[in-house]
Amino acid sequence: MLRPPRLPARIVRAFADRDTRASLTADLQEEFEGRVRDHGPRPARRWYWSQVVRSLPPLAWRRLTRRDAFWRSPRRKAVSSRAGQDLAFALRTLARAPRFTLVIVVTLALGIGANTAVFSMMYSLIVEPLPFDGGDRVVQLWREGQREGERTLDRPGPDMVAAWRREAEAFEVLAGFTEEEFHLAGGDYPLSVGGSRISPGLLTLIGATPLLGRLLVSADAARGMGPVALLSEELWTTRYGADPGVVGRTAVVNDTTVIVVGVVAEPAQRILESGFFGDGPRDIFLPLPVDGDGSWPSRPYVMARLRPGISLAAAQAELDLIQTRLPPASSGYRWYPRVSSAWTATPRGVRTGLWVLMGAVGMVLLIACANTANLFLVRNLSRGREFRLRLALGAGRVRLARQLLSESLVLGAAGTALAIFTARWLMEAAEWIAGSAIEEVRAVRLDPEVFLFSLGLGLVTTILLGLLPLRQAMRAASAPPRARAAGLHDMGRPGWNAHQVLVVSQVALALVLLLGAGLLTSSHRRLLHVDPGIDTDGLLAVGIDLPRARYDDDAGRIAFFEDLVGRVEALPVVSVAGWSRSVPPRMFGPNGSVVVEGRELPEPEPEEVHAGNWVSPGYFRAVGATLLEGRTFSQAEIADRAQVVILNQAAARRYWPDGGAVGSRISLHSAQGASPWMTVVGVVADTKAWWLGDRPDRLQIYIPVTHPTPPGGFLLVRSEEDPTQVIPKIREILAQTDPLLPIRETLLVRDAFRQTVGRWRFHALLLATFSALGLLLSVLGVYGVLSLSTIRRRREIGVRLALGATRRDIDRVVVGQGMKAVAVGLALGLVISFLLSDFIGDLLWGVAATDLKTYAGAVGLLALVGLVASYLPTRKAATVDPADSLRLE
Amino acid sequence: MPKGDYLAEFELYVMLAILRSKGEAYGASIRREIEARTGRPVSIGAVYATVGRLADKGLVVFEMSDPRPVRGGRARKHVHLTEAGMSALEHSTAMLLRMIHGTPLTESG
Repeated sequence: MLRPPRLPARIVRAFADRDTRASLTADLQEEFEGRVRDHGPRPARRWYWSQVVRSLPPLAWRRLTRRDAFWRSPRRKAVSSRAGQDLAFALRTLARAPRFTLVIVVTLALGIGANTAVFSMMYSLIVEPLPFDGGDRVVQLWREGQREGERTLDRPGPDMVAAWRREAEAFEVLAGFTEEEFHLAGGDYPLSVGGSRISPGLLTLIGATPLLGRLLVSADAARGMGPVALLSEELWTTRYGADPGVVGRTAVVNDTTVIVVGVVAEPAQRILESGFFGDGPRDIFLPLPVDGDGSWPSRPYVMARLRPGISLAAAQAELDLIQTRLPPASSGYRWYPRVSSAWTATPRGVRTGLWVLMGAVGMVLLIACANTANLFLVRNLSRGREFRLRLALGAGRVRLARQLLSESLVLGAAGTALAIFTARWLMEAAEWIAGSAIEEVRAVRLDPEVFLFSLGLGLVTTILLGLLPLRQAMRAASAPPRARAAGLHDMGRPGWNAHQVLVVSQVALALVLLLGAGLLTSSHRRLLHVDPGIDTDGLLAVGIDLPRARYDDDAGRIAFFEDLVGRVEALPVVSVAGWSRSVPPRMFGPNGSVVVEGRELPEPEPEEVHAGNWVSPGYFRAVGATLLEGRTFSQAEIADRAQVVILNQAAARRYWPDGGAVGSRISLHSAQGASPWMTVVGVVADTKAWWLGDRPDRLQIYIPVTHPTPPGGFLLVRSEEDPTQVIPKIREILAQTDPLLPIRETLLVRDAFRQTVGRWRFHALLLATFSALGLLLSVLGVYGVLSLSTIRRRREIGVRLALGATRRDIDRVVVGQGMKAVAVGLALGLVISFLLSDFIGDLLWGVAATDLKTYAGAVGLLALVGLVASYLPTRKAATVDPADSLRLE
Repeated sequence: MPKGDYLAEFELYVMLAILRSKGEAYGASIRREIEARTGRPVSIGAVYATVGRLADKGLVVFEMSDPRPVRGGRARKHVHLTEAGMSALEHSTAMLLRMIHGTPLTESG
């Protein structure tokens, strides 16, 4: 007869009550046999499995709730009173060793807390899907260009998007959005608000709901820049006093009258501002213009939601296929579609940084565990006698184990409780350190799952370590009686033991941490000392956008800015003012390949992205850029829009290695065609265009600000006093010139440059904190182990003293033992660091991952600290009285 | 009858199945009976858990049968309703019928 499958039979047995077990399995078997006869063995087996699986919940529930269940029985009362006893005993024992208890609890709190904090950051920034339905299926769509091994990721072109919208089947929703600043006129004062032109799909994508009125629909977009707008809940509250009658009213946005059709509920706004959909606040939404062929001419960012069950790779394959059917771009540049999961939008720098931080914090946890282990080992040695005695007096092993477990649990619980505070505090610190440099960190919340994991880790560590003495005591109980009587079992063996292995690993890990911190700190310091090429002290940039409707011709715009510059310059504290289209460290200039007059045309190469700027004559003096050759622009050249250009030193060197740039003529060739010939009138020093670590050979091309006059720009003001004091005065002047015009932003250029290296500051400070922690913990470890072994070797030391050794000799033995472990640890740490050097290389600037000075410093510091930690225990050795030891022998 | 002693739906099914088997009811037979009559899949675990609960309430008792007269035949654990079980069942079904009477359920059916 066929037997029922064994595994489910066993499972159901385990779940059933003792008194139903037999008949239940017999019943099952009886029916199984019947089914084998009627339906064959395979269906019967399947039936058996399904019976068992469906039986488990009711059986489990029955066992938990039955009248004589454990939780209701008198047995539980006995157990719980015994647990109470154990707990009280554990608390008393721990209170008798306050230093041990404190160190363990603090070590656990730091280790678990730091881990929870860093893993939470990691989770929210890298793993967690976007916080709305289907958020895990949201992808970003890019185009990628490849040139000389360099990849550039960019917003996809209109033709690509149009093709995707027509043909791609992989997406449920395809949405586009721009990031823009809008002028909102009316009300008490004009306001510059961040907002987006969006396709209706974007709000569908994030599951937005209207608080009032409606959301945007495709009919709005079809009308081009249709005269409708959505407001965010926040703008509605702050600007319109939460007036429910706002829907249907008009507002003036960028000098165009629009009708407010709805208010978006707050959660959607939070999602849009979370960093995945670009930076900065979003308070107003206009429809994204659509061309007749369904393409989006304004080249928005594109996001999409995959259909359920469609993988990233499948979507990518489909877009690749669609791309092959598109005609090649007229510029000859090859673009490739790219689908990326939304979380990879977390910038690469942030991600690598977090991986490094995670590694670092993991090492801190390891060091903390090693320390805890060491402390437990030390303590257990001194308790060995207690346990042997209690075993000898007839204490049960289970009872002893329960007592040890209670102690571990108390320690683990206390450490974990404190760890919650440590984690919260660390995350607040991280947020503060990250400041505005790493926006993403703000969205981070303490993650309960991560915390539970850390908690489990802490408890498992303490429980395992806490049970060690029992094992030792049992082993000792079986040791030869003579050795026990003499207490020889406590003597340290001369070779390597567990303590030293732990010390070695601690030192190794501490060295890795120190090196990482050292390298990052030195990167940050070097970056801060980079000369930006301009004088950033006292330099203020004021961003102003001119609405096209009222400033529709160049003359009006020029007049406005020139008038403003004149008035601001007249302020007593302002030494010089100028204006320009962009401002360092966010410079952008004219693009195109440089063609020098009279030379052969270069091979057609893809457009090179230059830095540079459109500037007024006062610009160079205002920013304090050094003029190396020639002259700056004249006022007449600005007014006449003369074809003149100023290059930076890198550009002059590249095209005229032997000099002679000034006076030559160049033209810029781009996809839009060739510019007229422009005469080089001057050469200025290089400016760090985008961040302090920017490459030195970046070409910078300056042309007069009137080519063409931008709809907005920056007023650059150099003041003798605190530049922030000048801002209100500029506001006054602006109010006189054009009371409707808002200031878009004010920028202290020095702070803006500092912010560009905020990421390095963040990494350096956090890693420095972790390495300090690691250093402290490992010093404690070295000291603890040496003190212990010195105590264990008292007798040996006494004998040596009696035989004529001097105190110095003894010191040397003790210190030598400590330093041996430290030296091995250092060597191991060096090996690990070399292996990891590739990994951290991404985060460094201006310093090699194997920088000798940093290595020497870290090794020296650890060796010194190790020496001190080894020397301190010699004082314990000094208290040894040789006579005592001899008497004992 | 105290409030806590109303029978749950599945308890009612189990007791009715026991009643139907005329003293021969045991786990597998109850399971088959309910499954066959209600047409909904029933797990043996649910039957045992429910019978156990009914026994706790004193509504059913167990009795081991003699081994069955076949090769390898085993003793079965038969379930019987007690007096209290019988009256609880009568009470519950009567209430149920009174509730159903005069509703569209009875008029259309």
